[in-house]
Amino acid sequence: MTPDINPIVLFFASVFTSNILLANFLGMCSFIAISKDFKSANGLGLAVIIVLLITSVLNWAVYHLILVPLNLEYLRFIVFIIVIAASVQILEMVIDRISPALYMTLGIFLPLITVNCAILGVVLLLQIRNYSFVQSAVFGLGSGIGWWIAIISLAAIRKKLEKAPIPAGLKGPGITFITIGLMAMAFMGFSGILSVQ
Amino acid sequence: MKKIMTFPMGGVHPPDSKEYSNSFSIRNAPIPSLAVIPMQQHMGAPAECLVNVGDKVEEGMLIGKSTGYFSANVHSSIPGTVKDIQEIYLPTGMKSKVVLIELEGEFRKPGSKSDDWRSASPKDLLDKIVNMGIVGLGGATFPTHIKYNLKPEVKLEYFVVNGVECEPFLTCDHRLMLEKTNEILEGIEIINKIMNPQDIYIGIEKNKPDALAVFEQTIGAKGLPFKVMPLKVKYPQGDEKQLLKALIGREVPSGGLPLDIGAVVSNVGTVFAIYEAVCLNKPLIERIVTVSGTAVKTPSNLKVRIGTKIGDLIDECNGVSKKPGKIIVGGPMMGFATADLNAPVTKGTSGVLVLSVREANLAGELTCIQCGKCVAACPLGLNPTTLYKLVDHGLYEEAKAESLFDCKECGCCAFVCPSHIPLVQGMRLGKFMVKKQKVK
Amino acid sequence: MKGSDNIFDKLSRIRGLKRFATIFSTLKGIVYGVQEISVGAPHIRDNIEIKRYMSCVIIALMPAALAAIYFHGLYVLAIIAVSYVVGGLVEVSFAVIRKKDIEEGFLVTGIIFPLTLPPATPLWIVAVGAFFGVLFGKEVFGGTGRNIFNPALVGRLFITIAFPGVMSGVYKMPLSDAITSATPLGLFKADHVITPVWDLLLGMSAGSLGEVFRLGIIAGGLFLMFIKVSNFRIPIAYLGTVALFAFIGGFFAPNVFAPPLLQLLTGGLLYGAFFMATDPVTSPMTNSGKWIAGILCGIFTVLIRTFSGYTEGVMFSIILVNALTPVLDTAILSIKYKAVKK
Repeated sequence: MTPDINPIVLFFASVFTSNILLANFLGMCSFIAISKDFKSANGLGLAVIIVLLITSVLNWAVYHLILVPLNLEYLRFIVFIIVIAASVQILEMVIDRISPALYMTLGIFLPLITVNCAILGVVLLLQIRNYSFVQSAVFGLGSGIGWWIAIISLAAIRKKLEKAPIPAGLKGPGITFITIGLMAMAFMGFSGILSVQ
Repeated sequence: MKKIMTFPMGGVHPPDSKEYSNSFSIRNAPIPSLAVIPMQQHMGAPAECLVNVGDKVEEGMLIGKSTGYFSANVHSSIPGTVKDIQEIYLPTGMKSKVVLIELEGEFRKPGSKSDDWRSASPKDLLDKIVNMGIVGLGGATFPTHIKYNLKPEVKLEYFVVNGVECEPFLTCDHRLMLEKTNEILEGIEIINKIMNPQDIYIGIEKNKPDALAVFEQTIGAKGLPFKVMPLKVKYPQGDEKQLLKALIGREVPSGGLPLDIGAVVSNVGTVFAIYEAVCLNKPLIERIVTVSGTAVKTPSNLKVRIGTKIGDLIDECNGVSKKPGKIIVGGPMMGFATADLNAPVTKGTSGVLVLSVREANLAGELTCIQCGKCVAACPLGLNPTTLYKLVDHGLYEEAKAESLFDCKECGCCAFVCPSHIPLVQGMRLGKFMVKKQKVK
Repeated sequence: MKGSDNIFDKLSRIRGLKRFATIFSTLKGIVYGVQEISVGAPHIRDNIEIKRYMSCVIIALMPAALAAIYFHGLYVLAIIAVSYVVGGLVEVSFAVIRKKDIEEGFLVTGIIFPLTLPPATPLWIVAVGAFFGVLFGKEVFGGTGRNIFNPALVGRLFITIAFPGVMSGVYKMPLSDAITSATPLGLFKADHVITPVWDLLLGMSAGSLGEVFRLGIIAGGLFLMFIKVSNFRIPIAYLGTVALFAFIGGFFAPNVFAPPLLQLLTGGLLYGAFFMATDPVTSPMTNSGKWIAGILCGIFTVLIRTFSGYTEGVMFSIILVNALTPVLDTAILSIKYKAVKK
């Protein structure tokens, strides 16, 4: 059954209250790795928004129009990953063509979006929660925006912390983990709101 | 009622403290028995010294010849004998060769005013400005002839006379405007002849209503095509970038000059000096200096010969009334503190201020709490706290990328900083280090 | 006081005590005052200075603190004392390790934090919160001025999440010993009870220590704005957004959203808006950033209050906005500078 959630509410929930990063803890690796530099964080965040939107829509179509009619639901993991990988490849070529500078900043991380758990996670959530086409698109877009907001705010915080006299042992990853922990603590305030299941 | 203008971004409102001295007319300071005349009184290359120890000099004689285009002539302010030639540090921190002249002999009789300039060519007038060693008297001491020497294809749109005097305490321009109105207007006519701008504005802040009124009246009576522009009181409106933004609404591009937006700005003091140079054939050997501050007994506006010791000026104002905490050469926002009462008055000295101990005692530097007051105060839209932190961490190139070199060191950020962080000094250090690395 | 031979200088020269030189220099500053002459321009300064800044905040908090003591007895003093001692110890030990001066910042944190606590909070929880807040909220980030999150709120948030059972059952009505969990917001959420305005203003309702005497908070907050210690933009944007959002929400779903006046006068909203969201360290530097931060705080607060499992959303929303503050500043400054550069 498709759950009865207003797309606007769903959008808001996916951006803030059930933020894919700070409430569901998906996509942590690139979140921590790329947030050192504000520009690449911004670029990666925007790339994730686009990839999430495209793959949510494509995978919804693939799942509901191909796999379900053919009773091939058990193939969904493989199929989802193939769709994600293909769309990322195409996106990579497009970015290389349009903005070589952004392509250079993203470097290895653009192909790595393929295995970014946030992407597969969102796609699987769509399927588990049985969202409609519109809901899938909104949820994909919202989750992407949520991921983008989270990574640019962390990048800005890390930029600010670069010049702070942090105790030597905590410099770099240590303080980043503490920061993320505190951010996640704040996101706990949203617990119980619009719990999208 | 004209619209009162100001620049849109940033700025601060320090107490203007002009009431100490703005009601006293300009009087003559005593002639120094020993004049200390630096060869470096202007921006650019120092003048080349033309005299030797033992030489007799006359009042107004050329003793330092400008070396090249970006430089200015220096003249003797008193008649006498060259006693010594030394190297000293000026209050600005610059090292300069100085000529010490001992007073001896006769003063020149003041010449009668000549109106020859009306028939002279702009080229001759400009030569006069070069010869008489005129530099900007607002404080930056930029050689005036460079500003006025327009390329023939350039058509100047605006000439702006800067009567803003936004630094607290200083009243020398204010008094000059009141007492020498006709002379200043004639000076503007001379400049008009040299550059022939389309419009001439005279910008005066609202805290000098008498100067505004007297200019309006005299210009009306004489039928001159100049516009008097009242401005809101806000520091640093006397900076040419801010003044132009306020008056003509254009922004001087980063790293550019006012000429890039079709304007030239000169201080009223400079205009008066040009009048004296052209009409009285008098080189720049005198200027008006405000001696003020909370610890001076009788604050005054003095007409001072270049090379007079600042200690003599304080004595002329009957010394100090309280325990002095600090002596400042220039205005309180951008001036330099000095411990040397023998430091000479130079062409750029607009004021000598003595602050009491209570005002000079400022709590030491504390931690930055990111309050953002400096960001709001910066008239150029920079982010002083980030720049300071970058410089503090030795990241000079990054600071440069964050437009460190647009900073004019106006001091607004440090004025508002609740933690008393020496932001201006940080900016200076950053600029110095970037230049140093470039030389390497 | 030019002579350097006062007792504190002597003490700090004793070999074994050299490590603690920072403590002595702080004491010296307190006893003799600071006397330094700045040599660089500008030679005049605005008359706001951080130490005065902090004393003003503490003075502005006094009405709320005194009311708390009046309502709940001397136990409140014990709570404040524990917070100061624990927070102060963390601060001082870090200053000693870093060999830096002791900052006065914890004097403010040390009073703001206990006033966010419910009246019957056990002292050991106060100690845990103060310790966590000062250590992980501030010192690990590099001390005063460097923290990303408001340390008082980090401590409060930590104990709320870590000890939910204890923290929900420790509210008391003023001037009585009866434990209750029914704060005005909780009452509205459960039974749509609307507490009378005057009770709320004068503090005759259950709530955290410093948040109930709302007339005093408003007076203190206005005092801070009037002397320009705190910026007026954040509180106005924050309170305005809450009222507007609650009004619009109430228009569509009157039983879900509490009415605007109740929203404004309940929970820690006034306390948070006047004293915590305005914290200069963790709020945006730019003026437009301050407006945006206030509006975001307001939206988050009403959302959390109305829809989440928690009855109060002020601390969550302020911490959330703290996390967004650096990115707001980065974005606004780059936009502003682009506009200047063109």
